[in-house]
Amino acid sequence: MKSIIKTNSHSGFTLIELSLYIIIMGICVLAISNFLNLINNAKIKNRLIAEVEQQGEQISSIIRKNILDSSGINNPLPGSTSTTLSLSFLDTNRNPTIFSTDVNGNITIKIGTGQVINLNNNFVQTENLSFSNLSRINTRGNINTQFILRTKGVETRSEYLYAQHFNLTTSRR
Amino acid sequence: MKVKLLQLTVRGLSLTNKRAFALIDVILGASLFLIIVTFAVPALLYGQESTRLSGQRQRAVVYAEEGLEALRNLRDANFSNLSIGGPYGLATSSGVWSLNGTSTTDGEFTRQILIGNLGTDRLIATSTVTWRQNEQRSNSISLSTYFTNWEKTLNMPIEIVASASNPADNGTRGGPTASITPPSGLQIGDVIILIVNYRSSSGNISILNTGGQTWTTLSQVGSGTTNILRIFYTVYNGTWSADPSVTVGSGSTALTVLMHALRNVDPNNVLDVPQTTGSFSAPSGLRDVTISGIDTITDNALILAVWATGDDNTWGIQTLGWSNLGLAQYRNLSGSDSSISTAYKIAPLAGASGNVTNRQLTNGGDAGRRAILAFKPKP
Repeated sequence: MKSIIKTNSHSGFTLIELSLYIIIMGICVLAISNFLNLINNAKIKNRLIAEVEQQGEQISSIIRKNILDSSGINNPLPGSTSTTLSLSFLDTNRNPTIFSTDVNGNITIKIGTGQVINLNNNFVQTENLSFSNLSRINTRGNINTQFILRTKGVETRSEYLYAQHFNLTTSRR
Repeated sequence: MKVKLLQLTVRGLSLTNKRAFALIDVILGASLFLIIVTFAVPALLYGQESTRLSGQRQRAVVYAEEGLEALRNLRDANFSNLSIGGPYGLATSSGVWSLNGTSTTDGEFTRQILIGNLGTDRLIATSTVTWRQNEQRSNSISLSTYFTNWEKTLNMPIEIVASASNPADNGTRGGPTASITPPSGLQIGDVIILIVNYRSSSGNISILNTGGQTWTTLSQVGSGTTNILRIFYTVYNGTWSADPSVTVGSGSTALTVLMHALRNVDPNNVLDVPQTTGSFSAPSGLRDVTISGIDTITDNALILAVWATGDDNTWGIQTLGWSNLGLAQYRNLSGSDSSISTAYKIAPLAGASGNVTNRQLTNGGDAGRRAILAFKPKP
């Protein structure tokens, strides 16, 4: 190597060339890492939005289906609002079915004498769950359900936060 | 990459005059990178947007559904809560749903309800939710459903049980009293109607022997005219203590008592529409006597029309849908004669009954009294 360099009048990279190379590489690496970061953030955000929207939809449909199946509404009473929905069923295994929230902000369901089961996963938590009994007199019942699903994120990282308000109303048949 | 760099290094060291990167290479590389970025980033961002939009659309559907569910509860409470028309909003006041205003807004969504008529006891409700997807685009979805008055209480149709009269048609009976032998086959709760025609310009028709029943007396028709008419009714209690009878106090001119029995009349509210009475003058020409219709309140009400004259007329109903209750006429040949004719119609739907015309077929051209009333079916 040394002999070649010695015989060569153009002696390798100049400092300018080397710095230029490093600067260009630096810019490239910066751009690529920014790009990857953007992709990553977008992916996370995308997933969080999907989590919130899909779980909200799923929880809504579970509540709706149970109200449709039920044989009566124990709680809340007509005209009142509660954080707990208790439905009665003719099927003794399902009687009563209770929707509520736990201390960790999960929406829970308790079917008959069974375990309390979370309806949402660990990525999201619930706020302001409320059930309003808007039934008119001599009707089978009408329940308005509202809740907010929020991602469990770092408060300072706003890109990881997503919340959605869900509102559904179901009349017993 | 490493191999390439190594090659370049070797090239660089090998005294060739070949340049490392031409400007064109750099531009090419940069452009490729840009193209990738240009396609990849929007794809990611649109992916995110579309997840959000599909969620938004889903929530819009649920919001529209809420409109229909609220209407369902209104329908369950009372079908008439759903008034045809719109657009309506929905509000919860005093803990129940009610139609309110022309639209409802919840965050980004605006909902309007339209209620269309599909005939009796049937309607179509449409719940439309509109929202702004972004600054440029607005979106909407519509859900429709049919609502029927499926819990409607259908009234038992009123049945005609039997009729009786004193005297029998073309018989003779003079005042001041007349009793009547009730027809057989009566049951507890049947409504018994007495129609009394007295061939005199004065007098007061009243019950002489109640027969163990409690009679309701309607106002008398006609005074200072050729004949007077009065209707009584009772809800049969199951036992006759005697044949019921009526009296006019004094006088011996023709006195006719006509009894009709109806089944499935509401015992608590016998009359759906109180009687409308009047006098008619002697008809000319074809000798048609028309009684103006009344407006019934309950579906399947039985409308009863009565014509009473001071001559032994025979009668023929001229209006489609009406039939004689009992015989076409009940004539009394005592003294100057008299005649009663009754017609009925069961109107399936509440509302205007329409006029009814009865024609004096023989011995015609006589003035008389008329009455029309309606009986309410048992719910």
